[in-house]
Amino acid sequence: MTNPNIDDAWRRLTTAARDNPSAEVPLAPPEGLADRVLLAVRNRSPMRRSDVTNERILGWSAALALAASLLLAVSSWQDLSSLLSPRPSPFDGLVTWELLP
Amino acid sequence: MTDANFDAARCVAQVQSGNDGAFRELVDATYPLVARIVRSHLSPAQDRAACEQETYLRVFERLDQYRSDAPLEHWIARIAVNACLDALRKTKRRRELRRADLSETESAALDASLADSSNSAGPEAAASKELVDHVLAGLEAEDAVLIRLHDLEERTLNDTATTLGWSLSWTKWKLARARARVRATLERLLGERKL
Repeated sequence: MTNPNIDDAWRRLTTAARDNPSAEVPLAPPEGLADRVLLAVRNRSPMRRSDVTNERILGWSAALALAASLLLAVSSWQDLSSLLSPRPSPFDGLVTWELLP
Repeated sequence: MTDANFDAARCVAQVQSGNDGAFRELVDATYPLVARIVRSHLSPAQDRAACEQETYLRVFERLDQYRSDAPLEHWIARIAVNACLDALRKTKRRRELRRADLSETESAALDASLADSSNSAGPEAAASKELVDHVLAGLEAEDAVLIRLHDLEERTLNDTATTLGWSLSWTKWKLARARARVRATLERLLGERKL
């Protein structure tokens, strides 16, 4: 902190706040808390399972899409490199033959 | 903390085997810890009961992730702090805190903290707590939780990082940023007094 007075002020405030904890914390949970949680878990479980399934499907779809893109990229590169590389024309022989006296 | 007679390993095993009674026992044994964490991070105006329930919901659903080599209380405390963080993220942040928003006792505590005449007992100390809560309520959720864990609960940086599931360097950076925001708020409040 740039201003040491502000630093000290904050330190004193937090020290004082620490010495004055909030009101007493209840020792026993509210009536039926555990049962409400169990009920909520049972209500949420099927949805959560389907969420997990959806996530798995999405994951596999992404992996397949990536693999397909890679294959496409490789085949495109092969096509491009074959176009660029010099190779004999199929008309070479014909032209040569016709030009012969 | 939990009851000395509470056997966490046995209880967790029973909950995992579908014993609802064991889950009730787990809630009974750990509730004071969860209630203390939720009350320290959320104000009475926020839905503390919903946060407590969300904490136990996550505890139940993630029980298979619990490793018995660490105390159950630490694991549950981490879940509770993160449930509070999520609850705070959903809460609309207060507008910028002004001197006029402070009560007379909060204002006096602020001046006293600068003059080094604050007392650790009595109304000024209680007002200090209100003022700290007021300042933290104006921060972003992550900043408020971080300051509360590190500056108020005096947890180490390592412990704070572990509780929040952050890296040490990220926690350091976030803490420096949160403190800068606290400093800016205090400077503004103190500056308004001089006007």
